[in-house]
Amino acid sequence: MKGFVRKQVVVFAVLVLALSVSPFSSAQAADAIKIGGLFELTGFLAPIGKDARQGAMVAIEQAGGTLMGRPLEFITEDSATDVPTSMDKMRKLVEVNKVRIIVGPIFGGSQDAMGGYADKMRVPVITIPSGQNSNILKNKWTFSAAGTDESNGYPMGVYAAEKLGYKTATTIGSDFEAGHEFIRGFALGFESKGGKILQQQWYPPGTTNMIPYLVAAKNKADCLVTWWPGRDAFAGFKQYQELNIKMPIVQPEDGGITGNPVANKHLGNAVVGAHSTVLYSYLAKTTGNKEFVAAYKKKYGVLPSPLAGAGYVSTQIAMEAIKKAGPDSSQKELKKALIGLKMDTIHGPLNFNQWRIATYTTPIVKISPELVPEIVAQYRVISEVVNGKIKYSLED
Amino acid sequence: MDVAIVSILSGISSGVVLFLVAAGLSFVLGLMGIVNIAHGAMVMTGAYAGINVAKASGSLILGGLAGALLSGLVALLLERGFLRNLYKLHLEQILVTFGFVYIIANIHLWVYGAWPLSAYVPPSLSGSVTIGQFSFSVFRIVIIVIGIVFCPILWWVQDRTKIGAIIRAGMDDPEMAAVIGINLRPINIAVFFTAACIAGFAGVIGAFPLGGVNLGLGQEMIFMAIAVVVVGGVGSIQGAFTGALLIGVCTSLAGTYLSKAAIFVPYFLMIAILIFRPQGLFGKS
Repeated sequence: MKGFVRKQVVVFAVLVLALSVSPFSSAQAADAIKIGGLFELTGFLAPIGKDARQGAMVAIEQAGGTLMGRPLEFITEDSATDVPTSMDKMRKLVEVNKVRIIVGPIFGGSQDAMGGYADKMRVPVITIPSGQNSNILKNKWTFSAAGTDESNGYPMGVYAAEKLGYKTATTIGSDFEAGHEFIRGFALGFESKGGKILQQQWYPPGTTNMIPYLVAAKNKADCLVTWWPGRDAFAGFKQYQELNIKMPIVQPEDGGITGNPVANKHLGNAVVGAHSTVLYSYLAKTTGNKEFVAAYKKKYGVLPSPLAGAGYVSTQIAMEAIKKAGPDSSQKELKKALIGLKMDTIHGPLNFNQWRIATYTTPIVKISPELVPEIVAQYRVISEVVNGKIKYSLED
Repeated sequence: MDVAIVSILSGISSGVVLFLVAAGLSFVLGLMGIVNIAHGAMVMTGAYAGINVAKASGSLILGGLAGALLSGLVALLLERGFLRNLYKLHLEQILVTFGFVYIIANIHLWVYGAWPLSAYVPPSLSGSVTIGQFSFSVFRIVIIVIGIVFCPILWWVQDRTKIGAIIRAGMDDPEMAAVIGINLRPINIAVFFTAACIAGFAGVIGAFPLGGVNLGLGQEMIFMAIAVVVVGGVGSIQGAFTGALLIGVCTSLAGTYLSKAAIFVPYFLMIAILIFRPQGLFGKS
C-alpha cells in the first residue's frame, strides 16, 4: 500500500512539472490579454444588449485580435438583464477567466450590484451606456463611459426649453433608478432655462399597457417627456399613437430604441417627430465613425444603433487603457491610466475626469418621416462632484 | 371623465386577454392538478407564429387559427413527453415547466430574433372612436366583444354539455369518476390541448393591447394568469372572467390615478381573496 501511494505521488509530481512547461501552462496563458464583456442577450434589454455586443466585436476585430503584440481574448457572457445572473457571470469572468477589465453591462441594476464586487476585486468596469449617479458616487472602480444618466437627460432639457420653446412638461418614466435619473437630468436642464415640470408619473418596468399613464398625462403641458427603455418603448409609442395624443414627445435618452434605425422600422410612424438624446449616432461626423459604420454594416447588414456605438467605444476604452498602463501593469496602474484617459472616438473627443465620468459629445436627434434619426444639436456635458452630488454644465 | 372611461376600457381589453389565458390554466389546474408554468409560453408561441401568418396572409382569422394550433401542438408535446409522468408531483411539474419557459423563449430568440413583434391589426379594424380628447381603437372594442362572446360559450360548455359534466366530475372526484367508467386520460389531454390553443389565440389578438409580443411575454403572462386563477377560483369560467376583468380594470385605474401602485394591484387582490375567500370568488370550498 505504501509503495502504491508513493507511486501515485511521483506520478502526480511529474504531471505538475509537465503541465507547468507545456503550451497550456498558466505562465504562457498569462501572455494573452483578457477583457471581459457582459451583455444583455436575454431579458427585457435583449434587443439592445445584442447591439452592444456586436459593436464590441467590431472593435475587437479592428484590433486584429491582438493588443501590443499579445493575443487579445474577449470573453463575453450573457447578463440576462438580471442582477443575480450578472453577479454570477462577473465572478466567473474575474475569478475563473482572470479578466483585467470588464465592459458592460447596460442594465443599471446590474451595474450597481457589480460595483461593490469590482471595488473588492479591483477590476475596472467600463459601463456601456451612462452610469447611474449613485453607482458612480459609491463605487470607485466603475467608469461611466457615456456620462451619467442625469448628464444625458440634462442637454435635452436645455434644448427643449431653449430651442423648441417649451415652457411646461409632463413626464412618464420607468420606475427604477435609471428612469428617475434620466428624467431628473431633463428636469435640471429644463428648469435651469425657466421650464416647469407639471407632473411626473412612474410605471413599473416591463409594463406593456402604457394607456393608463398616457391618458393621465396632463395634456396642457407643452411636451410629453418619456423614458421608455428597450421593449417598453414599443408599447409606449404604439399606444401614444393609438390615443392620438397631441403633445410632442421628447426623450432624455432613447432607451436604445428611438435612435435605432432597425427599431424604428418596427415602430413605424409612431415615432416620427420625437426628439431624443442618443448615446451615439451613425450620422455623426466624428473620428473613425465612417469606418465603424462601414465595418458594422458589412458584418451585420444593418446600420449601427446607439448601443452598438456605445459598445464599440467602451471596448476601445478598455483596450486603450491597457495600452496606456502596459500589459503587465498592476490593477492600480490600470485604474490610473483610465482616469485622465483622453481619446478621439466615434462619440467625439472623450475624456474621463477624476470622478470616472466621461465627457463626450451627446447628439440630440429628431426622427424624420423617413424614420431617420437626424442630428439636430450636439452638446458636451461637464459633470463634477460637489459636496457629494454631481453637478452639470455645458461646455462652451 | 374621458380619462376614466379610456382607462377602464383599456383595462377591460387587457382583462379579456388575461381571461382567455387564465381560463385554460384554471381548467388544467382544476382537472389535472398540473401547475403549468409554461402556459404563458404558449401565449408567446401562438402570438409569434399567428401574427407572422396573419401578416403574410392578411387574415387575422387564419393567424389566430395558426397560433392556436401551434400552441396546442407544443402543449401536447410537453404533456405527452414530460408531464404525464409527473401527475401529483407538483414541485417536479413546476421545475420542468419553468425550464420549458426558458427553452421556448430561447427557441423563439433563435427563430425570430430579439426585437419585439408588433401586433397585426386588420385594415378594416384599424379605425378608432373618439372618447373626449382621446381616440380609442376599434380593434380594442373588438377584443372586448370577443371576450364577451367567448365567456358564455365556454361557460355553456362547462355547465350545459356532457363533456363539461365529465370535466367537472373529474375535477370534483376523479376516483369516483373512474369507478363509474369515465376514462379521464383522453379528457385530460384534450383539456390541456384546448387550453393551450385558447392561450395561443389570446396571444395573437392580445398582442395589440399588450403593445406587441416579446420574449418575456411568457413569464409576464403566467404570473398574471395565476393571480386571476387565485382571485377567480380554480376550474371556473365565470371566476376566470371576473378575476381577469377585476385585475385588468383595477390595474389600469391604479396606473392612471396612483401610478406607482399599479404593480401591486394583482397581488393585493390575491392577498385579499386568500384571506377572506381562499377558494376564490367562484371556486368551491
